Amino acid sequence: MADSLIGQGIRRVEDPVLLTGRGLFVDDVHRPGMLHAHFLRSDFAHGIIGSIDASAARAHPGVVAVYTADDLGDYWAKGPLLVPPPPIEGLVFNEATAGPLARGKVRHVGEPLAMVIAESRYVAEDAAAHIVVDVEPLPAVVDIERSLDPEAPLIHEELGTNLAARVGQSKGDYAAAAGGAHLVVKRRFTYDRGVSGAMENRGIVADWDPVSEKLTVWDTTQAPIPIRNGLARLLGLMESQVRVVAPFIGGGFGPKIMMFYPEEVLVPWIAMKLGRPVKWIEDRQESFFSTTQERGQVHEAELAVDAEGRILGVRDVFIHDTGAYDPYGLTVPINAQCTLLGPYEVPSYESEFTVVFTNKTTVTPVRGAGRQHGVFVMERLLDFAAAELGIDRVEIRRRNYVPAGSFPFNHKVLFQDFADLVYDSGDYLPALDRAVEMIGYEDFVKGGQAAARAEGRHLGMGVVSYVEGTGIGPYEGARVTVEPSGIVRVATGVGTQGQGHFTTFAQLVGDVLGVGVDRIRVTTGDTGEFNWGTGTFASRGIVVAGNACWEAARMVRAKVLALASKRWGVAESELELVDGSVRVAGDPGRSMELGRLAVEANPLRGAVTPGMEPGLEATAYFGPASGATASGVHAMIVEVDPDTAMVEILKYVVVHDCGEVVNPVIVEGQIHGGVAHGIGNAFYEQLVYDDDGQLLNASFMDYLIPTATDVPSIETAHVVTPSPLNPLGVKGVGEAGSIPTGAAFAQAVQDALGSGAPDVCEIPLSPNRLWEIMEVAARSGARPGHAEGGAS
Amino acid sequence: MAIIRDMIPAFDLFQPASVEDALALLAEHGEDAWVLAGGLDTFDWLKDRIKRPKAVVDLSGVEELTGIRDTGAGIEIGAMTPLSRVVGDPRVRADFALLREAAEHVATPQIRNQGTLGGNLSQDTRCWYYRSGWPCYRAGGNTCYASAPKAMNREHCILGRSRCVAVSPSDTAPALIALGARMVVRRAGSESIHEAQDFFIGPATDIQRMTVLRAGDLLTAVRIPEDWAGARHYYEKVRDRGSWDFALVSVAAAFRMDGDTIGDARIAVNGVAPFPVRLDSVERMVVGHAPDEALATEAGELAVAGARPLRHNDYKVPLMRNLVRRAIRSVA
Repeated sequence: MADSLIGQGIRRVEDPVLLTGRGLFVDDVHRPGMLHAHFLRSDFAHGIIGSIDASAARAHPGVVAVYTADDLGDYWAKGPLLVPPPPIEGLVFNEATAGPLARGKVRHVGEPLAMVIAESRYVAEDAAAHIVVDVEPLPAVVDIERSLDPEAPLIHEELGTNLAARVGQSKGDYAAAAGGAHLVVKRRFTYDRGVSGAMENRGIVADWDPVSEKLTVWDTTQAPIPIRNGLARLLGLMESQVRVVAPFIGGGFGPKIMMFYPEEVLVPWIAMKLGRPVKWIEDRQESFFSTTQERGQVHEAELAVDAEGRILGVRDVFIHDTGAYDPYGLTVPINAQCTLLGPYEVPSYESEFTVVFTNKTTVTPVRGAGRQHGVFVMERLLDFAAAELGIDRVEIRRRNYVPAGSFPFNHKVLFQDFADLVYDSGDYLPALDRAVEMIGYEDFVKGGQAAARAEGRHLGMGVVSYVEGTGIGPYEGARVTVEPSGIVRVATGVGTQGQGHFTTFAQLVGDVLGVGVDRIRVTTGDTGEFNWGTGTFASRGIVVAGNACWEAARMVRAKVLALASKRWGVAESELELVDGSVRVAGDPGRSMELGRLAVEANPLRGAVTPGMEPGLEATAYFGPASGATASGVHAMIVEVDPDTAMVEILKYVVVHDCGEVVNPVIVEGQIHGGVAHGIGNAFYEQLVYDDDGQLLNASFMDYLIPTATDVPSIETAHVVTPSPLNPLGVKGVGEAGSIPTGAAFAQAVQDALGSGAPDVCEIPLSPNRLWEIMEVAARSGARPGHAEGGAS
Repeated sequence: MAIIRDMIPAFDLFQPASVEDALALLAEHGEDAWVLAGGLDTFDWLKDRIKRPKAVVDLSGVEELTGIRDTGAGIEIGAMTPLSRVVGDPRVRADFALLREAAEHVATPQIRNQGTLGGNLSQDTRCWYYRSGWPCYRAGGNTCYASAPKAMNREHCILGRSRCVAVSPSDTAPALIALGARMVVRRAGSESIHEAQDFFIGPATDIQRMTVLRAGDLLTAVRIPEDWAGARHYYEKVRDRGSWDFALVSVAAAFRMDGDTIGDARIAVNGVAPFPVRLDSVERMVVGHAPDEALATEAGELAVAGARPLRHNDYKVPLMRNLVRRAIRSVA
C-alpha cells in the first residue's frame, strides 16, 4: 500500500469545476416553459389580515396564477415540528409552526401572503404590486425581555402566552456550592441576532413530468432526503416518484436544513398543478426577512469558585428568542445550555431557559447553533473570576479542565440528541499550552502589552477554550461502486454546501481501494442516487457520512479480495490494491485493473454464486451512538484605537482537536471560514429592528459581514485525540471556528481597555457600542489615556 | 416597509453619444429622467422599485465626459471618469494626493472601476428609512422616521439637520472641498460653475436633493485649481468595517505651512451632516499657529461646537473631534 490518502492535504477535486464557473447551482436550472414565482410578503411585523384582493394581479398580462392562503384549499397545513423537545422533566413546550401562506394573521415582516406565478419574475413582481392587502396592524413584540409582559400582545392567541418553552436542567447542588464559595461572580450577558449570510440565497425549481409521473425538484437544501420524503407525503406521491437534487450550494450554515419553507412546499405543488416547471429564487433582501436567523439571547449567569479559582458551580438563567415560530424545537437553546459547560469540570449546574415568541423572523440553527452563547457566558465568567481572584486567566482555565484521564466524561445533562452530554475523548491542556506559546502569551503579559501602552497603543489579548458537540446521529449511508471503466462512484445522501465532501469522501474511499482521488466520482445531495439519510448539519458530514463511505469501500475491498483470491488461487493476505488494480504482492504478472474485475464480477454467463453479489458494489450505513466532541483554544491580540473605538486584530491563533484529520487543508479552510463567521458576529453583524419589528438594515450595505481584508491571517495547529465512537476516529469541524470567537474578542477588548474599564458582556461590539462602553470608563475617571480625557 | 423586490421595472433607455444629446434628452424628459453613470447607486434604487423613472439616460457612451486633462490652471476631471482612474492618475498622485486618497477609500476595487467621480459626488443619501421606501420628508412625505424618538439612527447626522437627518455619503466630496474644486454643471443652453462646498445643499435648501442639480442639469466635470497643488494633506475615513463601507465620519484637510506655523488650511468633514461640512471657523482659528497639541485639541472642540447627536449617534461627536485633532496634529 502506498502512502495513506487519509491525512493528506490534497487540493479539493471540486474546485476546478467551481472556479471555472461550471458548477450547477439552482438558479442555473432552466426548463422549457418554465414559470417564475414571486412572493408578496407582509410589510407588517404583526397584524390581522382583513382581506387580500388579488383580482387585478390575476388580470395582469403574463400572470398565470395568484394564490393566497384561501386558494390553497386542503393543501394549506401548518409546517412540521422538525425536532420535538427532548424528554426533560418539567419541560414546557408550546408548538407553533407556520403555514405556507399567512392565514388570519401575520407574525413577522416578510411572512408570505400571496404567491404570484407568471411568465417572468419581472411580470410577477409587477403584478404583486397590484395585490391589495388589508392588514390591521397590531403592536409588535420586539424586545425579548418584554415578550412575557402582561401587556404584551399575544402572537399566537391560541396558546394564550408568548412563552414558547421553559426548560430547566440541573446537577449537584448549586445553592450549597454558592453558599460555600470563596467568590461568586454574577453578570448579565447579551448576544444579539444575525443572519447566516450564505453567498447563495435560497432557491427552488420544480418540474413535474406527467408522462413518467415523476417530480424533479432542485432545491438549495442541506437535507434533500428529508425534503423528498416530506414532499412525497404532502403531494400524495410515492417517494420513488420524487427526486430532490441539491446541486452545488453556495453555503448552508444551518438555515438551509430541512425547513419545509413555504417556497419549498408551494413551488412543487404549483408546478404539478399547472403542469409547467416553476422557479423561485430568493433575493438578498428577501433572505433577510424570510430565511431563518439566529442568536438573540440574554443570560443572567453566575459562577461560584473557591479561593484557587476552582469551579464549584454555575447558575444560568437565560431568554432565547425563537422569533415568530418554533419549528426547530429547542435545539439552539439546549446547545447553549450544554455547551456552556465547555471543557471544564462543573460539579453543580443550575440552568433554566425561557424561549419566547417575538414578531421577528423565525430562529433555527446557524453555524454554532447556540454553542457560542454558552461559551461566551462561561469564558467571560472565568475571566471575571480570574480578575477578582488575581489569578492569571490562562491558569484559571488550566485548573478547571476535565483531566485527560477522565474520558468518556459525562456531564450528566441532556444534549440536543436526547442523550447525556458525554465527551468521548479529549486532552485540553496540550491545546492550551500550544496556543499560549503560539500567541506569545508570556511575553505579552510580562512586558509586551505594557511597552505598547507606554507608546500609547492599547493592545489586548484573549485566550479562550471551547468544546463543540459534533457528529450526532441518527445515521448516514453510502454506496461505493467500481464501474467497468475503473472509475469509482460514491453516492451518499448528505447535501454539500462547500465542505469539500467530494474530496474527503474520495480520500476515504480511495485509501481503502488503492484508487487515486482523480478516479473517484462523489455524488452528494441527489435522492435519485441515494435513498436514505438525513442531511448536512451539526458538523456531522465526515463523522457520519464519512464513516459510511469508508465502510462501504471496505466492503467493496472485501469483494475484490475474495474474487482475486479465487481467480489466482492465492490467499487474500498476498493481495494488494494499488493504483486502481488488485495484484499479487511481488508478482507484477498477476495484476488486474479494478474495472476489469468489476466486469468479471458481473458475468453474462455463469452464475453469481451463493453469498456473492454481482459487480463490485456495496452500501453501508453508519450511526454513532452519540456525538463526538471536538475542542480547541482560540487566542487573539487586538489593538483598540482610543480615538475612534476601532478594533484591529493583530494576531489570531487556533489550536484545534477534531480527532483524526482526513484533509488538513479542508480542516483549516473550515476553521478559517468559521473564524470569519465569528468575527462577523463579534464585530459587525447586527440586525437592527425598530420598535415596530421593522428590520432596517436588510442589505449588505448596512448589515456588514467581514470581507477578506477584515479576516486576519489565522495560524492553526492540531491536537489529535481520536474519537472512540467511530472507526475513523474523526470529529466534526464545521462550526468550530465560529464558536469561541466572540468570547475571545470580548476578553481581548476588555484587556485592551485596561483595568477599571466596564465589563464587556455583549456581542456584537460595534465601534459605537464600544465607544459607549469606553465612555462610561472615561466618565468614571477609571481609565486614563482615553481620548475624552487627553492625548493618547 | 420591507423591500422584497429585485427586478427592475420597465423604463425607456437612452444612450446618447454626446453631452449635447444627453442635455437635450434631459431637457425633454425633465422630472421623468434619471441620469445613469456607473449604476452603483442607480440600480439599487431601481431594483428596489423605490425610484421609478420613466426615462433613463445612460452616460456610458459619452466619451467626452471621461478623462483627466491639464487646464493650465489645474486639472479638469470628467464626471464619468472612473474612480480607479482618478486614483491611478499621475497628476492627481503628484499634486492632489488628498483626492487620490479619498477616492481610494471608496468601497472596493471593483466598485472603483465601475463607479465614477460624478456618481460619487451625486449619489443619494444612505438613510435606511429613506432607502427602504418609507414616505419621509425626503421622499415627499411629511415626517422624518430617523429622528423620531425611538428611531435607529447611529449613522445619521450630528450637524446641519433640517427636518432630514440623513448624511452625505461621498468620500471624494470633502477632499474636493479641501482642494477648492469647482463643479461644472451644464443644462441645455447654459453652463454654471459652483464652488465644491456650494454644490452640496442641505435639506434646508431643498429636502429632496443632495446637490444643486435639478432636472435637466448634468454635472460634467470637476475642476481642481493649482491653489492647493502639492499641499500637505490629511485624509481619514472611519468606518465600521475596514473596507467596503461608508464613512461614519471622514476628514479631509489641506495645509500650507509657513515655517512652523500653519499658513493656510482648508478642512472638510463628511458623514456628520446632510452635506459635507467645510470647517471655516476651524480653518480661521488654526492659521498662523503652530499645530501643537493644544491647537489640535482646540480645533477639535471648535469643530464639534453646536453638534447635536441623535438617540444612537453620540459617538460621532468625539469621533469628529478626534479626527479633526488628528488632522491638525498631522502637520506638527
